[in-house]
Amino acid sequence: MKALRLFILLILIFLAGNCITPFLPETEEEKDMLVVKGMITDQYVIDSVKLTRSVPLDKKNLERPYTGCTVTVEDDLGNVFTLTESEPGLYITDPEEFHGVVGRKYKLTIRNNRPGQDNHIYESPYIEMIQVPQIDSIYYEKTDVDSHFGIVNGCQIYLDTHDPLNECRNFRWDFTETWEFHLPYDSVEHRICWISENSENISLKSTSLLSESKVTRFPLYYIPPYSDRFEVKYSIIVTQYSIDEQEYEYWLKVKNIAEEVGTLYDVIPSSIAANMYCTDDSTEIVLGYFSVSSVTSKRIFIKDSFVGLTDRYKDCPYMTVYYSLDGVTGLGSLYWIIEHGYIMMTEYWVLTRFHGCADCRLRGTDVEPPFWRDDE
Amino acid sequence: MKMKFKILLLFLLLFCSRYLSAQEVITVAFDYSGLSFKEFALKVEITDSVKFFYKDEWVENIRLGEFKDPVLLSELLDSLFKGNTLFYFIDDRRNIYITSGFAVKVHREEIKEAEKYIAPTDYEVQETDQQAGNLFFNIGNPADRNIPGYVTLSGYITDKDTKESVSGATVYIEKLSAGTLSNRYGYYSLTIPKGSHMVRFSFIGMKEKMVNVNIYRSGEMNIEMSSTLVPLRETVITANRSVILQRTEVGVEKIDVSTFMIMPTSMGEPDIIKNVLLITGVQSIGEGSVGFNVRGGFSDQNLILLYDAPLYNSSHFFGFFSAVNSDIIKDVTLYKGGMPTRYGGRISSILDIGTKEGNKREFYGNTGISPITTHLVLEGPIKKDTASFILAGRTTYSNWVLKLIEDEAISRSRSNYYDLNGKITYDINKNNKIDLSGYLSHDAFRFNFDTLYSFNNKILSLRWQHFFNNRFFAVVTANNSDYNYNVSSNSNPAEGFIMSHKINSTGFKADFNMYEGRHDFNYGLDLTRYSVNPGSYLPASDSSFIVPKNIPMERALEGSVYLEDKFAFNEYISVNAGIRLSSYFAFGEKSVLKYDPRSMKNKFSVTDTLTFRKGEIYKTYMGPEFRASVNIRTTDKSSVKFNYNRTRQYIHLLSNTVSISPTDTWKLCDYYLKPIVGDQYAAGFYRMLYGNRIEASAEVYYKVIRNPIDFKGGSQLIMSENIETDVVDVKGKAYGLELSLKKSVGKVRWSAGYTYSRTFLKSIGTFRDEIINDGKWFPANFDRPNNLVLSLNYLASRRFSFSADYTLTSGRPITYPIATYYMNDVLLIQYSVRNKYRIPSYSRLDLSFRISGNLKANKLANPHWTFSVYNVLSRQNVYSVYFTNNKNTVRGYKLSVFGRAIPSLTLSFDFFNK
Repeated sequence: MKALRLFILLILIFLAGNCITPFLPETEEEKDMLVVKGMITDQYVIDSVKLTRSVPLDKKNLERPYTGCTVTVEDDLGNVFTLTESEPGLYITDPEEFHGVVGRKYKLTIRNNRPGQDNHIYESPYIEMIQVPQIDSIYYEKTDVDSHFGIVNGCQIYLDTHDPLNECRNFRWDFTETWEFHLPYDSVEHRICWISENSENISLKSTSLLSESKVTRFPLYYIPPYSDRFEVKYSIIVTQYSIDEQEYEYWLKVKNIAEEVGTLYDVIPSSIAANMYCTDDSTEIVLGYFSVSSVTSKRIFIKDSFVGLTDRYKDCPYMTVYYSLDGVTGLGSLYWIIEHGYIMMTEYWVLTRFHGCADCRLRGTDVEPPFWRDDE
Repeated sequence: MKMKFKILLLFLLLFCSRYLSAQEVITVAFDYSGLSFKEFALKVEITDSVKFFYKDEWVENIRLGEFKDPVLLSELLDSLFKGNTLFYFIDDRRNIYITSGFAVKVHREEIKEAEKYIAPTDYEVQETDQQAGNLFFNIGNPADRNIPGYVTLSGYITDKDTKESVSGATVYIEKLSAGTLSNRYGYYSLTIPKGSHMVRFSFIGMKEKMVNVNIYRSGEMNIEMSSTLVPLRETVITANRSVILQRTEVGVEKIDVSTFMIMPTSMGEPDIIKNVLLITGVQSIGEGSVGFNVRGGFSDQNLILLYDAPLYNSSHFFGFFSAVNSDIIKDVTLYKGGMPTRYGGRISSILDIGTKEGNKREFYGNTGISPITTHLVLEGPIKKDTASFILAGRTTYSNWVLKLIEDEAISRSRSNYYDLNGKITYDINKNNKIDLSGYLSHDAFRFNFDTLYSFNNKILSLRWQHFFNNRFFAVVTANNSDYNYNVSSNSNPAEGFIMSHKINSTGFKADFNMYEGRHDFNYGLDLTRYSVNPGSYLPASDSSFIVPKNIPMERALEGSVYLEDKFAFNEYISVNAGIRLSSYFAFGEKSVLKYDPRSMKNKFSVTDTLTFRKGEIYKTYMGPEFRASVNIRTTDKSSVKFNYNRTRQYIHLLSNTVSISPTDTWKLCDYYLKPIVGDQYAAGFYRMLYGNRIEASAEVYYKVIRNPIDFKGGSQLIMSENIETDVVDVKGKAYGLELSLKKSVGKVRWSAGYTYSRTFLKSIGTFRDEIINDGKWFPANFDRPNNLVLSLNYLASRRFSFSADYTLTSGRPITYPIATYYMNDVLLIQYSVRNKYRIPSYSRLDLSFRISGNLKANKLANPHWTFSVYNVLSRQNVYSVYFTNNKNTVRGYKLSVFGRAIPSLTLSFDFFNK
């Protein structure tokens, strides 16, 4: 549909002077809504519930923490665990005291501790923690894409998993990709860096209509050509969650809405209700989701040759200034030294205007991730 | 006046040369005081050499009065016979016949001869010609004139040149302020008092015809009307004045082709749907949207009938052009309120496209080019006066335009459409007439080398009209309509796919019309069989990884019987009442999921699967549809009408987008999806102002819509197998006021229409996801309360005309985002309650000039130039406000489809001109 929309748009622009202008609607709503983003897992780690306020459309998209609340998790046996606010708006569990147990049900309660009228209590229903199976395998395939320069490669990453017990019927995945990149100069101090990105895609699969809970060749992530991810080495870690059907529906809606905003043929927009309710005021809208899940993850590495990679630093050599005679004096901070040395006792500098060409840390970190040599 | 005088002169000349007119010469000069009639007659026989024929007993009591001065015999006889049932007739041999109880009258056919002598030298003469009333017609025995009573005048109106029936012509008697309209077959029927009447037959594009009728018993009078010479002239002729007073139904509008041909166009294409949008009570979401909304109905609730078959896709190029070539349109009738019972299947409106028949006498053609298309029409006789054909084709050359664009992605894109219409008409004999019509349309789009979209419409229709007698006839129609689209991509063979959707319906209709005195019965049977391929998603080639998916076919039968009676109680009150019993059977094979009633229908609440064999009926819906309207003539110039209408619809268009999108799919009612039921209550007041020159009307309506559907936010409808899980049950209500003023005579014509209309929906679900706006009423997407349409035509001369159109409409409702937040690094938007806000209002002015070539009639080709400017004010009307959710920011945009004035020039030629 996307291509169709674009096409229609182009035709319209050509034929009809169709025009698109930025627009900010004036709306009456000014209320801040509570956004709950929380997950408790079966891991012996710190679980957190993050409380923020929604951001009005014309405001900068900064996170606005919702502080000073009393946040508790209660299981179906009546045990109550209180979370502590470790930083503004972030409420964490104490792993010594609490970790989720598969088969138990949990409920989140938030007391906002505001004075008078604004004093509200928010609650989730009880949610069962479902056992998640291991990921069977993660693998990739190169895809061929026609381009002006011939065939180039994209990379499709797939996932297989199954639950022999057929209990986990709804899967959600997220992933973090990490890759190594190098600056095109040997002598730069910060030459080798690693960059990590979290998934923005929402990956979901339900097996509830299948006789067995088995996911095969799930297209988790597609990396289009002209990326620099595979220049040196690439890794992806996928985390698998077991979610209940309500949460599956929730993420499905998030996914549809996030991906379906277009032009002429808009999907009628709709808000997504959270699984949190205000117990005092049923009209108050609460956003976000409190999820309960067991967790498993798997990592793979990719070291392969792909056609059509982009060297993001290929222009760096053309942007350098080479000085070999006089010392560099009077340069402002807009210049960065790539190289400083002596040739035949003559001092020289290679300078660049672009900081990124001189220091890979502008894009990533030069600290090698601890897992980076796990495949070796 | 010149003309009238000439006729009179000829009259006299003819009389003087061929008859010895006794009345002129016989004078009674002797003193007849006190004589009996017998004595008087004897004396006159002697003095004036005449001969009387009579029976003695008739004249026994007649005595002559006082003699004063010499007097004409005829005057004398007139006064003598006044008050009794005696008549006299004087022939050209000076015989005087006295009759009792009836009058002798000679039908003077020769008048027609007289007409032939008058050459139509100038137009002034023609105009008077139309009003001269120089045709005489006698029905029954004039002697009955003294017996009071009502009689029925009926007959057929046909086009003299093409032999086509003329439907919708006005038959009107000014003296009585009585009139009617000819029906679909050109048949009219009018109940009037006995006596002499001047009957006016008029129709847009036809020469008005006046006939003097002396009617003393019910009888028939068939009329041939001839069309005006030059197309432009069509609009000059008196429009259907007083039509609105005659119709029983509320909310019926008829557009004649000659009206919309001169209206301003977008990109030079005369467009029927754009003209329908000028009618009060009809709106659309905006430019570039398929479909229209009638009186608060959804856009899938309009039935567009072409050749009596439903047209499932009414547009080309994503809604910018109508799918029906205006070259084949004779007239278009929109039933937005009072729907005759012979129509059904959609709850909001019926748009019946009347198509042209080929000319049965002469060949005629027209061709032309506009910036977007080129078109050709050919018509003519196959066998003179018996069989004819018409063929019309239209195609774009936008591919050529696209190639000129430097952007590679666009120049490699393809976009084209074409449509073809054909019709063969054959008059087997006086009582049997058949026609066969076909329609084909195709759209194809490809962006770059990527996805290819293609849309196809096909209609084939066979119609048989049979006349049992002049007051009873039948029309039997069989048709098939097919619509499908394909979306395919093979740019990446691994993901190559073909997605398709198809709807096919076969219809059979038998429709009977019977005129029985003041009753006009219409009854019949209407059957439609549907088969729908909801969607298939198949790999494009062997190398594709796409998993084939086929949603099983849906099949159903819709059957209705109907009966309607139009009855005129008297001159003032007429009633139209009818019932349509409609039923619907969905049959297998089919598997239906059963859901746990305690929870929302979704894949998790499935409890069971019901399986139905092929042909097994798994769901039946049926119900009566009552239709009734009353027309009360309050005065000669005004009438009040009331109307109630129920309609049922068994087919939905699944769309969760703001307007109809080209990939929306048709869905039949099934186990869960119920038929949509509409109830409309309407009332109207109509009045002719300024000597019938201005037509004023006011209509109000209230409508209740049951079982329309809405969808849960973000549902994926394409390829959805169990649509009931995405559906939100809603109910709807709509009400409105429509005011219109129209002047459709004279050189300057104008119309002004104002509509206030509201449409609201309310979700009636019980589960959380099924509740929209907390279950409160919210405005529908197409709820645009205020709508003003002004239009002006100036017919400066027969070669030059100018027209202008202005539209001002409230913006449509929209749901705005109000806040943003993140979930797992996905930026999400929280929206306001549904349709709380509105986009800015819409206003547009269009102009059009039309120049025709010189008026010499027998030229080989007659050119017409049309220069149009669409959106003269260059206003950037907001079509849509939308928001993109890109990485970390939500950006709002206004989209204007036509952001500037669009000029266009269209040239067309008539050839083989008459």
